Amino acid sequence: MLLSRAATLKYQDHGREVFAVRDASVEIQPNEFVGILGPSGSGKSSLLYLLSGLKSPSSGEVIYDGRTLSQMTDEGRSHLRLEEFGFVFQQPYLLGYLTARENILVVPRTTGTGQQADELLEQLGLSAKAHLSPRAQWWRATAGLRGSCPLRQP
Amino acid sequence: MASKRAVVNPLAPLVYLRRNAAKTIPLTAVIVMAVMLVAGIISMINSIPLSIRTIYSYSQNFAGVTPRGDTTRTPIILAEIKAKSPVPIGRVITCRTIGTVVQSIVGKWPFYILGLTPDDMSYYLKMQGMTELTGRMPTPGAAEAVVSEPVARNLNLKIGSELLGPKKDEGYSPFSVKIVGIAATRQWVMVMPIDYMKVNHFPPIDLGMVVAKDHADQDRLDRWAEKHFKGQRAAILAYHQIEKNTAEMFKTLYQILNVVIGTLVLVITFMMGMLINIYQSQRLVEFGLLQAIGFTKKKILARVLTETAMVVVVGWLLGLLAAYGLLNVADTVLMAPRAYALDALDRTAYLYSIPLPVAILVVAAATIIVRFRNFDPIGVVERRIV
Repeated sequence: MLLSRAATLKYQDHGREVFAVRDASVEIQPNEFVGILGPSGSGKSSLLYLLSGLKSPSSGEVIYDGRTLSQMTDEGRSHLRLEEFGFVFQQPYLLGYLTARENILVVPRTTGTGQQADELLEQLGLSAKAHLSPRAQWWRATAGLRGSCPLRQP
Repeated sequence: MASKRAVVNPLAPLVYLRRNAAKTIPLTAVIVMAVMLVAGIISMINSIPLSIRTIYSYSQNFAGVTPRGDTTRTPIILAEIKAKSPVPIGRVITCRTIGTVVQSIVGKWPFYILGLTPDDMSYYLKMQGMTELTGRMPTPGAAEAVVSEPVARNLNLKIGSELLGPKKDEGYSPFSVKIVGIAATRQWVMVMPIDYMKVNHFPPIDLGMVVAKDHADQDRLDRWAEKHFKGQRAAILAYHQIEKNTAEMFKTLYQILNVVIGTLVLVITFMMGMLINIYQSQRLVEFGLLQAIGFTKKKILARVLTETAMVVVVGWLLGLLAAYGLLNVADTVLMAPRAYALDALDRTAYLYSIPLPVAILVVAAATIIVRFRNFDPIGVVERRIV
């Protein structure tokens, strides 16, 4: 379960306090699919950064599976993101010098399980292009799902 | 859209370096050329004192004795050395000399043709390591000479060539002195009959050569004789003096060289630091992405530093190989045909190149660490920095 309690993210802008997220409390159950809607600048991305441990809340807390993210070390949060979280960024980010298959294998939870990467490429209809680099624009959007593909269910 | 060989670990440093050859090769090439330049310069400069030591290394085999102010003292001095020497004496040779010149990469160097009796000449050539004589020994009293192979190459002499002659300003003799034999030895040697010298050359001063029975004792004998005759009417000429004088002669040159090499290392390091900084800046998206999806800063930093170290070390090693190749070519094409000394395996030259990879690595590491210190992956995934 992932939840936030009065999570707030604020920063200083020329001596003025600006809130990116203010007292946000959400609770997401396992296997629940949640969408966050809001106007541009309302703090959707910032909330996701807090929920994923990319940022630590200025106040309040974010708890994942009973662990308070702000009490974990940077390394611990990084490990959590790498092993248990998936991301789909607003823009597709790929490493241009790696092939489609290698881009998937960048995430350690799929390393050594090349077969799983192949299966994923097949599901996405990209098997024939697995050896091509992302410089070929046509598959970017699809393969950009890299970190988000739950090859192993957390 | 080139096809690529599948890799097990896509983030292995070698994968990045291989797949980004357009960046890796120029970086490596700069280091290769810099190392080659430093090692090449040092080795070429070192070839000057090396040439001096090589040309005069024949004097390692004896202590030269010359009288001072009294030409009749030579036999007395030689007898005294024989009587009081702390090491067993192998042979005492009385000789005469004529001054001439040999060529070096920095111009002409003085050299002495020794006038010897036939018996002493055979002994002397053998002592200087002669393994074979092409031609023959000079006829006593004749205007004939034997030179060693390096001298023959240096002065482009063959059997029948003129070594001294009436028309030679730097090698005058009233008769044309011809080469009749070429001795196979690495030592620089020129000998001719002492009788010819006594009749045709002045000053009429006999000189001496004292050879220790055991070559290992020669330096001890040289130093003893030098000390023993200090302040007396005799001068001792020994190889260690040549080494000392050469070191003193080139001391200032080496100090200047150190400044030049130091500046070169600084310039190249600064340039490489900038290049590495530019290349790393182009990878900020990659670093941000990796950090965002969960790679620690430490892990990314370790990977980048490993890549940099690989480029620097490989560049340095290739630079050493390139320097060795270049020096070998220079030796074969420019130096060896004139018997100029050049050590393609000059340890000092290669040691001088070490500050280069070390400085580049330190500056590159500092650049990368500073860049990572305040690096924010959110900035990347939000496209604030691309």
